[in-house]
Amino acid sequence: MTKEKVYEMLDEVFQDVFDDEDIHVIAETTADDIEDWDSLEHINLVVAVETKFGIKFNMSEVVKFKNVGEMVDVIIQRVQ
Amino acid sequence: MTITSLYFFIFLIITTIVYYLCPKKYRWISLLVFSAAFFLLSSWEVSFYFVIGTIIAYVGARLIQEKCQTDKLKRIVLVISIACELFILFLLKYINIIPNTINGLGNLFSIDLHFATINLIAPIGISYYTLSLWGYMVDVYRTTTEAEKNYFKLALFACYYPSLISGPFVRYPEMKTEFFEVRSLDWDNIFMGFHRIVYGLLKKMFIADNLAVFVNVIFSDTEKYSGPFILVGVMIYAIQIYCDFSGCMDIIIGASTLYGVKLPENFDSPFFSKNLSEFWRRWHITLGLWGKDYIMYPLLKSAQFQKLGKKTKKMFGKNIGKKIPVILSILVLWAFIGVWHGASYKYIFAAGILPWIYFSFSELFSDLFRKANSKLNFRTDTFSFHLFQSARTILLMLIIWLFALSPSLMQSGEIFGNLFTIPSLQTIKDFIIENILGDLGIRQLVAKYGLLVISMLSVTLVDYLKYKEINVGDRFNKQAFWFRYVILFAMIITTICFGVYGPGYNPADFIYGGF
Repeated sequence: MTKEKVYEMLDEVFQDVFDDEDIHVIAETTADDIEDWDSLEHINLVVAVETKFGIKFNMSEVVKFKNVGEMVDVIIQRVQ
Repeated sequence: MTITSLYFFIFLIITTIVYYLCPKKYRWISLLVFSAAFFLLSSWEVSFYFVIGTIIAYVGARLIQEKCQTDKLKRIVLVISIACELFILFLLKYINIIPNTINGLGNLFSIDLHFATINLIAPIGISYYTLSLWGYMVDVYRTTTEAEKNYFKLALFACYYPSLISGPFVRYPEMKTEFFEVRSLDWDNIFMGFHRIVYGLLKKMFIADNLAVFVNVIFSDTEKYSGPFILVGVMIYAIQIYCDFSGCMDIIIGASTLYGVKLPENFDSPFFSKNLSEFWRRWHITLGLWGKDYIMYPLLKSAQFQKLGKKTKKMFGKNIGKKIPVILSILVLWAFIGVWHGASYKYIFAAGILPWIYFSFSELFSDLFRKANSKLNFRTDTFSFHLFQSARTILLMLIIWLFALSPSLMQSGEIFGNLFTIPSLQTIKDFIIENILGDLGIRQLVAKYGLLVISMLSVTLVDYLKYKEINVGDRFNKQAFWFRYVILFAMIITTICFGVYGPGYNPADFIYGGF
């Protein structure tokens, strides 16, 4: 799976979780950039990403993601 | 040995000297020996449980990492190990809640059941120790850290005496480098540790313990000291409990800094918080983080909660539906925190259920408030609005503390009732003469209360600067030698002259030490 494809799919997940069709994420996107992205919504987001890509993150990854880019790196690793 | 006693300071001086005399490679062993000595001197009976508990965690973690092949097997070992740890905690701390409940129910129906309670040894730090080991095992299971192969290193993590007295909660991945990194004597650490201890002593022995006198008198008889007494009393209690607990943390973190071991901070200017979630992120920080990482997140991520989320979204629509699992997980978290605070229904309600009600309310209605604010064109980025938000947060906390101050949950109703009655003039007069004036001369009175006000204002200023992300401790350490020591000298003299201590005073009564 290419990085572009991952971001495309992530956009759909983010738009669905945060109920905002205008969200487009890039590697540098962080919780500060999206108003509703608090620690609770983070878990919903992670689970939605897991379902979309058919992968599992472990808890240490979940709490350590600093931005979307780091999440994408793990996704690509897992999908392959 | 309590941390405001003279023995403790002698212990601290001796251990610091011995620590730096030890060869660098073996310094961590000296910390383990100091911790063992501290517990043998304070409450030797618990040492046995500490050894057993650490063995369980040591074996459990190594089995998870080295022997279990499947995730299911790992999870089983993890659950069994945590259950064993909790069983010890339950035996030592909570067993009496069973006979007490049965007796209480009997009393309701006027039957004297008289179930015997067990005389428990006071297990200092047992809940901090249990939760730290719980976290360690989960971290090994999650592969956040490797299982420790040296039993004694794990024992030091679990029993490091400064953090075991009343927190902060420590995590193995963070503490590993702090404990086992080879480091040389850094005089900055000695100075910083010393400054922090003096500041903590001022907060605890001068501010908190002097305020405690008023709080104890008022809440020993709220029928007599009613109305404004209760209102002012609970406000004083807020300052008292903060200075007590955060002062205790200053002493502990300062003591640990002497050995060059950095412990995580537990307070960050909580009274300036804009809402309750922020308050709990700034008050007893390490407990909140622990609960979030080891209780709430795993629950929310579990298959059962995800399934529930899908159902509730279908039933109540997306916005409300997705909040229901969150609210449920917060209930579990707060119930746990409530039980952790004490084996009585009062704490379970005040520190568990009530905050949960606040949170659920704010979760469910936050969207509504936000919309209302924008519709009404309300400016929320002003100083006055922040002031309003802080006042609202403190008011909600005062209600929680009123419950905590009641002798029991049943009697809290009386206190809330007494809040609306007016005390007699004679009571006010007696209170002033007996508790404020005492037998102090006019000069001593002015000095004592003047210094109390100055100290409280200084603590507020330091906290405000910290809230604005200005590190007062660091800046203070960079000041000229004479300036630092004039201030430290003033703090020491104030604590010695007007601090509450001496015969008949039990410095063990740190409010949070009991947890």
